[in-house]
Amino acid sequence: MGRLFVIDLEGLVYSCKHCQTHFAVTNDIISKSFHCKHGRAYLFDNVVNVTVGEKEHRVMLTGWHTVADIFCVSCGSLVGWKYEIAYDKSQKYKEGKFIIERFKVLGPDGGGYDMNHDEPMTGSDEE
Amino acid sequence: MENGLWEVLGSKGLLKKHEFIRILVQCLYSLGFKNSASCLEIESNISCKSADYESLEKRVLSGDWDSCVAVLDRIFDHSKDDTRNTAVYLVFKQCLLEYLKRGDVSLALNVLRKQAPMLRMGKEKIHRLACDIVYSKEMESGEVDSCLVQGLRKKLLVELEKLIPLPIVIPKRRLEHLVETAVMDQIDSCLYHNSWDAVSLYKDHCCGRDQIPSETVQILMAHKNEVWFVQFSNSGKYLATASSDCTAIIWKVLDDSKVELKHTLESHQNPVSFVSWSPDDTKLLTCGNAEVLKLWDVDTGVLRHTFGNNNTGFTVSSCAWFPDSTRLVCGSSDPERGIVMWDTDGNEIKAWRGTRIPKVVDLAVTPDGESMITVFSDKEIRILNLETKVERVIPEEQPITSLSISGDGKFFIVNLSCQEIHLWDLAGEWKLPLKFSGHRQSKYVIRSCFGGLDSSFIASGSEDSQVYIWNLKNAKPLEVLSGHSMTVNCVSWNPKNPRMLASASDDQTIRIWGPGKPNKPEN
Repeated sequence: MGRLFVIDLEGLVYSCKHCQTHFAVTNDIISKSFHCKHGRAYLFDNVVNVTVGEKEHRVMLTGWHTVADIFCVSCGSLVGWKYEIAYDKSQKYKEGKFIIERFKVLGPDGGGYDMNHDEPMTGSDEE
Repeated sequence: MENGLWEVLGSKGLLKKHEFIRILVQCLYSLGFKNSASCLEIESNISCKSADYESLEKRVLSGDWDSCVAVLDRIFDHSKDDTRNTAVYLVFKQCLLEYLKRGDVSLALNVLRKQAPMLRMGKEKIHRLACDIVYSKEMESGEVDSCLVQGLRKKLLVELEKLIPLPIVIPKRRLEHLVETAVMDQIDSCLYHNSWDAVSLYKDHCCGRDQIPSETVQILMAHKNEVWFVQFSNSGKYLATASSDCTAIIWKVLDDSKVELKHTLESHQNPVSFVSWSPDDTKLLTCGNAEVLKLWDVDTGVLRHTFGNNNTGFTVSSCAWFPDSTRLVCGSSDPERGIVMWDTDGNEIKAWRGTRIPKVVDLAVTPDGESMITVFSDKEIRILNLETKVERVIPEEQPITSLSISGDGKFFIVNLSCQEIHLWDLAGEWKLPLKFSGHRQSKYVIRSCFGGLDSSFIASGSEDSQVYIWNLKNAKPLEVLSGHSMTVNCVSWNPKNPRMLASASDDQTIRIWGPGKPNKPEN
């Protein structure tokens, strides 16, 4: 309660690095193999406590998409983006799903993320 | 008779002229205009009482029982169905009663032996009839009084009237009833209807926006930051507001509906987001979602008690009173703190704790103190009957941000973060809620409330800085009130003044709304 309405999640939760607002649970991870300029990013099925920004067209490694940035509802920091439309048939599965940049959140164990200490990136890439 | 009595009236030809005239005559008689009524009877050649009824009436009042039964037979078309039998039974009962009171025992016995079989009653029914009479109240008083007998006969007539079919007897005050039905239908479709005054018969009833609050009449500026909560006291004489400036303010509502500041309650260290008036309006509770629960005296503005262990700082998101104004219950915004019931001295009476209890978003107690409604952060509404301990769960699909109960305690509304307001019944008969939408809500806790005559309206705040009002009959808003410059967080409708509404906004002000200008110019 109290002005800003913040939803609390149960289980293994990813939360905002700055204000610990809950965003998503590990069960909702569809893929961990996405990347952004800050390193790894995860594709989530469902995300809470974010506000969705304006829709934009962006070119990703996998082609043109219409996306909207998502921001933490408490502190306003940029957390990732939401796929609104994918123009390639093979990318349609991402529509309506969310990308959260690993760098912007604390993992379920409360740990942060440092791109420099990460393994070299392989596998299906993005962005 | 070329009187056109079999004509029809009305633009659709649905009304029978002779019936219309008959109920007019009945109406004149019931209003006391005997002369006019009998004049009309003569002029139209339609009498209020049918010939059969007049005949029956004469016979009953003169005690001519045999002819009575004959008339009844004629009325019921010689059928032997149950209604006819009941009517004849009543006549016999009266007849026997009179004979016995007069002392004519042999005559009575005669009736029982010979006439009763006509009724097709079994032996045991005849015995019961005899018993009924002998033990009846009327037998106790000793005197045979002709006044008493006439009185009893008139009563019999009234009972018989209930059994006789139309059109021999017509229901009393038929015209009045028909007109009232039409007026009630008009009131039903009147969306702005907000008072119980009598309506005019000269035109079809339809209220305008001057019946509900829709114009700003006062702006209250005293808080130094966003105002998150507003609520009128149960008596409608006070108003309480809570703000992120860490204070709550008690205002007084004057006789001319103007509002003035009475007390500023300062003690909280964090924003206050919720207040609750005790049912007798002498005490006020304040709390916030990161703040403890405090009890204040309304008259003096003095802090009476702070609840919870000062070390652990039990933060309370929402609280409610029981009808005795001594017991209160509060829900915690810390997970696992649960729900606790206290008395006003600070003693804990009961608690629902445990790791399974999630954060309490909002809670309320019904005005009769029987049920407690809780909204947990997992989208469930739980209604617990405190007597029977039976709990009912209503699952919602979207997160709920606030809860509000109607004045009569029969309904409650919840605001959902998907921009809908759902109305549920407390009794649990509805499978689905009534839904209202049109306002904006996505990030913040927006509150709504019931209001107006018989709680027939709902008002809600909105993130587009407007106040929305719905009539319960329509899912779309009836009125949208502009004025605030930022999100309207909470609204409260004065429970004793259906034309007064208050709203609290992030723009640090509280607006008082009053009746609007009528939408049509007066004739």
